[in-house]
Amino acid sequence: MKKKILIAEDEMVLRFLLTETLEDEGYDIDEAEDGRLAMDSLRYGEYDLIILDYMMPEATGLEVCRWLRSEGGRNADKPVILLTAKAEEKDREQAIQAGVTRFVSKPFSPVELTEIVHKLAGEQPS
Amino acid sequence: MKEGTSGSLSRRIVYGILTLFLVLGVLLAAAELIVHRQYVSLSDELDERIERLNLLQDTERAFLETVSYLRAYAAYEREDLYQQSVSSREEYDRLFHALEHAYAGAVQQGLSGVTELEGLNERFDRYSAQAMNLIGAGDIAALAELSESQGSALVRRMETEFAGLVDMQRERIGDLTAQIRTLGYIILLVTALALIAALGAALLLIRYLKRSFIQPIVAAEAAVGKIERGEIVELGGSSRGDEIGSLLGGIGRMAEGIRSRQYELENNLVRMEEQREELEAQNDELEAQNEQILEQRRKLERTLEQLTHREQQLEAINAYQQSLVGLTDLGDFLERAIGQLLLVTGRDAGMLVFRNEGSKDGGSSESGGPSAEEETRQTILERFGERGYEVLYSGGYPLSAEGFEGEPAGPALQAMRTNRPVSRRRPVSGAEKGAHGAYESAVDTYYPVYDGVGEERPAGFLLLTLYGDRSPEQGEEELADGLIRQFIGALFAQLTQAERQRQNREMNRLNRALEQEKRNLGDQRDATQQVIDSINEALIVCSPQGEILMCNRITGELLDPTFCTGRNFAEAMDEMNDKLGIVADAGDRIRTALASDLDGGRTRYSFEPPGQSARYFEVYIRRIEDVVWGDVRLFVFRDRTEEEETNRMRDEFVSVVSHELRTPLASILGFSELMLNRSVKPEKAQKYIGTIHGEAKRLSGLIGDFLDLQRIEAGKQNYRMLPLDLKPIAEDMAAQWDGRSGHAVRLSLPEGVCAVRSDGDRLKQIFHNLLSNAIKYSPGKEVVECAIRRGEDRWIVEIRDYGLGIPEEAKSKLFGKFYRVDNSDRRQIGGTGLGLAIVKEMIEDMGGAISFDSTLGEGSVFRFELPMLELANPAGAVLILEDDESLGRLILEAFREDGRPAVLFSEAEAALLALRQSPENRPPVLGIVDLSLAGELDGWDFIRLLAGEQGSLQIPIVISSALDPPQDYEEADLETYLRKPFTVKELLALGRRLIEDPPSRPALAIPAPSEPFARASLEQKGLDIRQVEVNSDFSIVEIGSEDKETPL
Repeated sequence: MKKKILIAEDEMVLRFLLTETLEDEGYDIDEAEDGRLAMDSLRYGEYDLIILDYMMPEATGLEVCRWLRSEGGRNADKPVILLTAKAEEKDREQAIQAGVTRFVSKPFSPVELTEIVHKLAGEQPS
Repeated sequence: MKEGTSGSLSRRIVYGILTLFLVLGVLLAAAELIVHRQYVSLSDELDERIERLNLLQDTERAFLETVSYLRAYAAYEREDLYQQSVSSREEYDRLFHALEHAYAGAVQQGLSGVTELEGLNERFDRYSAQAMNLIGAGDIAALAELSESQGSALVRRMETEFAGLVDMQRERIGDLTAQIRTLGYIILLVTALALIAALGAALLLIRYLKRSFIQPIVAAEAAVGKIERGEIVELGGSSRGDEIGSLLGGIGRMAEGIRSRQYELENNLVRMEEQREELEAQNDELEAQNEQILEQRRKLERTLEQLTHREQQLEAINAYQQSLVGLTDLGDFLERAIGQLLLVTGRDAGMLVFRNEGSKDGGSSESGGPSAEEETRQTILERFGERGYEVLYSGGYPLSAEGFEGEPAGPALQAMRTNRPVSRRRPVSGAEKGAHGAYESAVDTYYPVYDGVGEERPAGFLLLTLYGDRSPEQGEEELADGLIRQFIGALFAQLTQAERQRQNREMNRLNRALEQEKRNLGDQRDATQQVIDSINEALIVCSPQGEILMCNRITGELLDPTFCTGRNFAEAMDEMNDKLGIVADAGDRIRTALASDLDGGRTRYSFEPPGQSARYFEVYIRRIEDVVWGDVRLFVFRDRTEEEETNRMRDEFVSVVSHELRTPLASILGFSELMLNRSVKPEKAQKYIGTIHGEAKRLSGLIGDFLDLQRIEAGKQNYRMLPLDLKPIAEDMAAQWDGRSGHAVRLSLPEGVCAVRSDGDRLKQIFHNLLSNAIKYSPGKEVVECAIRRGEDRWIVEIRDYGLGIPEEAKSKLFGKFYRVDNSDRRQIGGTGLGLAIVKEMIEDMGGAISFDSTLGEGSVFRFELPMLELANPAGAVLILEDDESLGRLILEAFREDGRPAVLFSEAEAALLALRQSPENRPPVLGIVDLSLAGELDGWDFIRLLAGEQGSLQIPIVISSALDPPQDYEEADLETYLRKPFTVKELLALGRRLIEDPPSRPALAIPAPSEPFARASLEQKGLDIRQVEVNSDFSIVEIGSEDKETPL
């Protein structure tokens, strides 16, 4: 059984980069283009890991995370990786309170991200 | 009509007349009606009878005709006679029926003899039928017998009957006629009767009126006449109830009134007569009294005359005494009082001399005036031998008082020492004689006077002089003494008052000086306050306890008017926060600051009233030792809201830029790392590299845009503003974008040249940005449009797409930096968010404007405008290309004065545009070209472009500036080389020659005096030389390749 990851990122190229990085590592990837779509996916699907971009239209990654922790149902306690730009680092405190598991700042290294994902997803995929 | 029943006379008359005529009218109308109806029935009957008579006669005639035709037929048996008898018979039958009908009514009444006639007729019918048959049978005998037995008799009977009926009718008609005539008489009679009755009624009326009204009125008139004459009248008839009754009653009462008045008057007359007699008696008495009174008056007048002289004297004394009081100025006082004194005492001259002490110097200068007094003063000084006396007043003496010579001690000193007046007789001096006529001597009297300082000793003297020999009378002298004493007393009072006034004046002067000082101080304070008020920082000075001692005007504006002098600073702060609903501890912070006694502290304070924009302050606290206030604290609030805003915007900008830069960077780094660390399949690698390339390009574009914007905003963008045509730029850019992303670019351009002054590269960038936006924001559409339109004085470029459109809330921010219409759809589209900001800045820098219209879901149109460039028309003119404006004007005017139209350009670009704008078939007649020009192109470029691909000219051209020196050109000739080779005059002559006597094909006149030089110069510029004609200081050159033929 493949582990399932939700990637919420509004920039198409970055979404493409994340998908390429993780699909090759044997994960099953769902994509969301903005905060609202991410919440929709979280409502109906079940994921092992959620990767959220901080700055997204409709709802920020922080807002999605906060929502996930309070009303996320079966996804409520799943690990969350927040992708941030440098300017958003100051909100780190807030993000931890919102329940973010890890921060990855942009630009990120796909190799490092893969390791983080492996660790958080709990096992080495096949 | 009964008397008294109806009050109103007029009504009674009207009623009477109306009733009379109504009765008469009714009677008359009844008679008329009866007669008329009678007449109508009679005449109807008459008509009927006449009609019946006529019918009878006609019937009779028809009967007789029938019989006679019958007889004739019997006699002659002619068929026509028979026919006629038959038709007559028919006629007769018809008439007879009519007759029967006419008589029908009468028959029923059994009134006529028609019944009998009907019987006869029946018999006649039978008879005639028999007769006819007999005639038809030809039985004459039987016929004759029949005729004998019945016929003749029957016929006769019938004739008789007819005649009888006719007679009856005639008789009846006669009766009727007679009746009608009788009726006529009756009508006449009735009319006559009516007239008689009316006449009678009128007579009755007149009689009544006469008796009822006219007689009483005549009687009343007579009575009034009598009353007028004063006779006594008795009036009857006042018992009547109508107006006349009341009139008569009134007249009667009037008469009685008059009678009683008359009686009274008579009585009065008798009384008045008595009184008159009494009065006459009294009058006699009064006349006697009057005589006495007149006598008394004459006595009184005499007494009065005696009194008047005395009174005048008293008046003078009174005036004098008034002059002693009420005048505040010493000079005025002396002038008036001594003048009056001389008048009342009968003296001729007077002088007042006072000891002159230091404190009294004011008096002398005030009373001083003409130099005559100065002289008198000198005289007195000589006389007294004592400096320190001065003349306060002198009047009545001649200009120089020589006659005052005498003892230095003199009578004046004597008077002052003895404290009593002293008199001396003396001879008058020469000058005095001139002034006072023939007097030989004069009497001087000296009176001691006292000043206001309160000393007992006389301070001066009053000298009065009487010219002439007489001595004052004893009584007058006493009076004079009294008056003089009054003067001395008044003078004393006046001097005392003068002293007080002097002191007052001094006091006032000091007060004024003090006030001036105060004002000066106030001005200084105001100036200081003004300075403080005009400072942009709020200043609050308060005591260590927090009481506000001073604050400047701006405090109220920056913070709140709550802060004012006298309030407690911290409390005012709390109150303001409460009032504006601010939750803050500012009040406590102030208390802490005051308590901690800190000096030179600074802190930040943000003022954030809910619902308003926040303001940020830097607060400085200082401790001041002040003379007025003592130990105080100064709070300075510096408004740093603007700084804060700038900082915030910068932070935001940096944040946005870093975000924008990070995304492509992350992709580039990410994919390259993937490729480095993983074995990637070739097709995937291709895709990654493509993405890396795209993102790198995006990054590069972003940085480029960002730098552009920075440069523009810093005002460092340089624009090369040159005349250019918008059309080729639009065409180029449209061609670049046409077909990309499946969009066709549809161009719509006007005819001719769209000339503007602008920077071509920047324009391309603008077109590029707008077109790429249009395409990006209309995904899936097939077309975008680019159009240039002519505005009033500008060219309008419109770039339209039919794509997503711009949401309302985005419209105001559209030209902002890093703004991208923010929804997920659009995030796909990419772009830096700087394009429109750059476009707007650039267009505005180039003197244009940009705007847009957009409907969400239907598309957008971006519209920018640039001012039109007006170009002179060179058609058929001399085209002058010269960057030195004054020289250009000179050449222009020279050609214009020569009667040739000429136009001037300073840039080759403008000239080329103008040439393209002007009609093809009318080129300029001549070009005068300076080689160095204002624009990008130089004169050679112009010539080359003009010559076109073939390299041959269409018009003759004179090069007006020197050529570049060939490399081997000797330096010595540089001087001549650099100057303008032609004078304006020479240019004109050369131009004229080229226009009027042109070479075989358009040629170039260059300032090269030798063929090698010309050849070298032109070849260096890439022009082929075909033929050279060398003149003294210039050459005429035909250019263009030999082998190519110019299409002219």
